[in-house]
Amino acid sequence: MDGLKVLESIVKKASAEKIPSCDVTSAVMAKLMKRTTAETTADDLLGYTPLRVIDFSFAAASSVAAAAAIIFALSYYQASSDFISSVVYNLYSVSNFGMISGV
Amino acid sequence: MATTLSGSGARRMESRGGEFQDCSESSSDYMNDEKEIIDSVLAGEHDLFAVLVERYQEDISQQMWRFSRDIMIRDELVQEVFVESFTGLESFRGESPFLHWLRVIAVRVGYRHWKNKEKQKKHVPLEDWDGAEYNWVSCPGEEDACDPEQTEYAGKLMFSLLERLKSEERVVLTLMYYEKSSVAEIAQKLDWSEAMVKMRAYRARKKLKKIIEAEDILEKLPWTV
Repeated sequence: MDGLKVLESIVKKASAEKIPSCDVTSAVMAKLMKRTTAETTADDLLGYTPLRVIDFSFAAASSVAAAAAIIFALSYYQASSDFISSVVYNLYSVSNFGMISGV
Repeated sequence: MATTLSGSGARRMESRGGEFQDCSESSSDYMNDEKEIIDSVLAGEHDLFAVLVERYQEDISQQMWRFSRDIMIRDELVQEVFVESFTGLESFRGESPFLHWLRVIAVRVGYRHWKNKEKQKKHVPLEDWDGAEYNWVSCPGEEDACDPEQTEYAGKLMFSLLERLKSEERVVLTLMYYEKSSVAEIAQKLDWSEAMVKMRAYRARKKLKKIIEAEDILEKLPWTV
């Protein structure tokens, strides 16, 4: 017999299959509540959504890493301590300026 | 989480088991009521979203059953559909019923689930599934087609046959056979061209025909064709 006719017959029977019932209302609402609560808490504390907070954390961590790398490079090339101090001070000023101007 | 709603929305909420449409009201009233609920949810009354979940969870769970016959995974997928619809609620324009919009999300969630499974090359053995412990909703269709043993057998067989196809072929036949979707509707739901849908449907049917004939599936069926 033609395979497509057999397929049609299986589909017809399978379409009439009883499906197990489902009740996910409380689970969905719990997930949504958790989600909205997390967003609200972060928003209240910092004025930003969680994603934005993560952005800030990355930005802060990379700035510290960059500063450390510069100081290490200067020490490696035996720059004078005065020169290193001035570089650190300038970095600090620039970062302060960035924070004040909202960068 | 308390769900309070006065008027027609609350009345419908009491109705369960997939029969949510109130025949005494026109579909435009029904859509207006839906729009009211959605507007309220968007305005910050998040609890009201429970009304929509209550109303459509059976429809969506029936749809997701075609994507996974594991009850736990099926329920997870249904939850995912509602969570995604909540987060994207602002993009619902209200031009068509909310259920149509939900069904599109459901197809994409189900298809993504298959794609992920394909990557992991993990298959849930059908033998592990036991339907006896669950409550069943009413069975639509012809009476003679509703022999529970036969329909369950057919459901499992169809699932295992479709499982042998690629996800993109499988999703096309699932929508064609179970949701009775047209080529244009499938193209719209999956964001593919109609030619692509036609080609995948043709290939999928050809593959299934070959499998059925090679493995003599007809002889194994507990009913006559």
